[in-house]
Amino acid sequence: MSLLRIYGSLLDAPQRCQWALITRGDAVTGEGPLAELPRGTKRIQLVLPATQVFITLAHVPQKARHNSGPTLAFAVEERTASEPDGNQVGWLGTVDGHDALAVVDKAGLAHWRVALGAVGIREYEVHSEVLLLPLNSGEWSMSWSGGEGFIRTGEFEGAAVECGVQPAAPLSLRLMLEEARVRGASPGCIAVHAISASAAPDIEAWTRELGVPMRLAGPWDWRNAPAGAGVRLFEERARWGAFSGTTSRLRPAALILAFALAIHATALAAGWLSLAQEQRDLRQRMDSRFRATFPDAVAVADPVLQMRRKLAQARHAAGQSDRGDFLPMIGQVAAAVKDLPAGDVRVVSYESGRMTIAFSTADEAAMRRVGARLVQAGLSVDVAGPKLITLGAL
Amino acid sequence: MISGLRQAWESRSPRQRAAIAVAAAVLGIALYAWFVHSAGQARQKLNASVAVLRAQALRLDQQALEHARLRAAPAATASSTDLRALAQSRIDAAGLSRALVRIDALDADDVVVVFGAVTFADWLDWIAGLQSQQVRLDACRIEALATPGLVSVTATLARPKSK
Repeated sequence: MSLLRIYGSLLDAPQRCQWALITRGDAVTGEGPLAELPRGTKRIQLVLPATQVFITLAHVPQKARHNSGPTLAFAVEERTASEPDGNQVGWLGTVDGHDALAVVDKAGLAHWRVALGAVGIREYEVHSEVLLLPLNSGEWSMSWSGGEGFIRTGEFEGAAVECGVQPAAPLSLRLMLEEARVRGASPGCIAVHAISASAAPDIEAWTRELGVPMRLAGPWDWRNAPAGAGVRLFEERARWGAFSGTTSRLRPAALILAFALAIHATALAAGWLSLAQEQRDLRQRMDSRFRATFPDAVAVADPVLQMRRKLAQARHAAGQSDRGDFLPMIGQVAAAVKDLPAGDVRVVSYESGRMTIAFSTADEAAMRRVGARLVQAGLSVDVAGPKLITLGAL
Repeated sequence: MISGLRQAWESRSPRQRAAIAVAAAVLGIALYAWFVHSAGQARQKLNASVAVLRAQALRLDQQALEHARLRAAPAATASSTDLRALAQSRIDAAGLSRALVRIDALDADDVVVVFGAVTFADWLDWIAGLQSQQVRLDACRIEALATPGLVSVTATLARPKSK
């Protein structure tokens, strides 16, 4: 994945810039008008100079961490010289229970947003070159140009280092170390990345002066920092013209819809459960009714069928006709097949309340018609094929 | 975990986030539609099943009442004449003797009567007459013959067993 880094100062009019295009670890660098920036990169970073990003620690409400709104700006009001409205503040992470915040000039960022938008760049991350510096465990890392530089003192911490009086170490670096000593967080070593051999400080003199071991590390430049380096301060997203703000406007409607769907789903489930319960109750009721009527019944597999048979037996014993008897059933069959051609009924078999009728011609429509009439007459019907119907009393 | 998810979400580009959001919405809608469809179908089946069960339960109650009434009533008195003789006499009276092939008595209360070619309407009248004598058709096989109205019948007649 390719990464385009644009180095831009918030103090200058954003017309030209330095840039680096990093593809698979190889960097192509350049400088020129914004309109001539390389195109087609998946990821773009706007890198701000160390002096234009103020990183500080504060306590902010958890909900306010993930937006760069006014709450964060007011949280660092006392630590910044400008008005809170003039700053854009981003939450970086937590350091020893404190929130690390990055403060930049809002107007300067807005100028860059407009300028980059004009050349078609609407989505990009904002980084500080301080947090692009490599960081080893137990070490601080400093970039030094000979007269000024910047230092990264932690994953989310760092600052610009003002001009020192050569060869003395910068005063701000000394103050940082004093503060770290008070907190018990002194570094084991400070790695110094000089931008050139001539810019390298007198390491031995600085070590003696600061009381912390220092070492010269290799040259470093924001252009060559790995693609995964750095901590994002802010993220600029594409704004969709007329659709801008639609998401937040639709949120109440979406919540109402979700609530309605949840009620619908609950009602469906409740209805289903209620029906299932009724089904169980009805089965249990029939079972109990049969057992109450026939206490000596050994097993109750199908109370409806068993009751039907018992009732037929009782009717026969009392000399009464049953709906499952041959005569009432054949009467209903005769009525149902009356419009079939004469002789179409070939065989009628009857046994134990079940009657099977075989027809000589296969006419599915006629079969369905006959079946429907028999069902209407209150019989259970099974159309077993185009020529065969089986029926019985319900 | 939530912070991990939040970090993963924030590490995505806006386009990736939009794609993930759209995919999640489509998946959610599809899952909800599937749920509603399945629940609707299951409910429809269950509704039909419960309606049948309600009718069956009602009928079962009525049948149980009728069964209790029948059990309380005195048993019908069947003719004490030999069933084979009774059937034969009714055949003679109905004029079906020519069509009779044979009568086999299985026991005192069960006989098998076979007719070769008998008018279906006459045979039906004969059966109805027997029923008035507490004789019931237990099983039969009726086959239509080539001549319209004529059938061959094998019928098993039964009478309530005398206790």
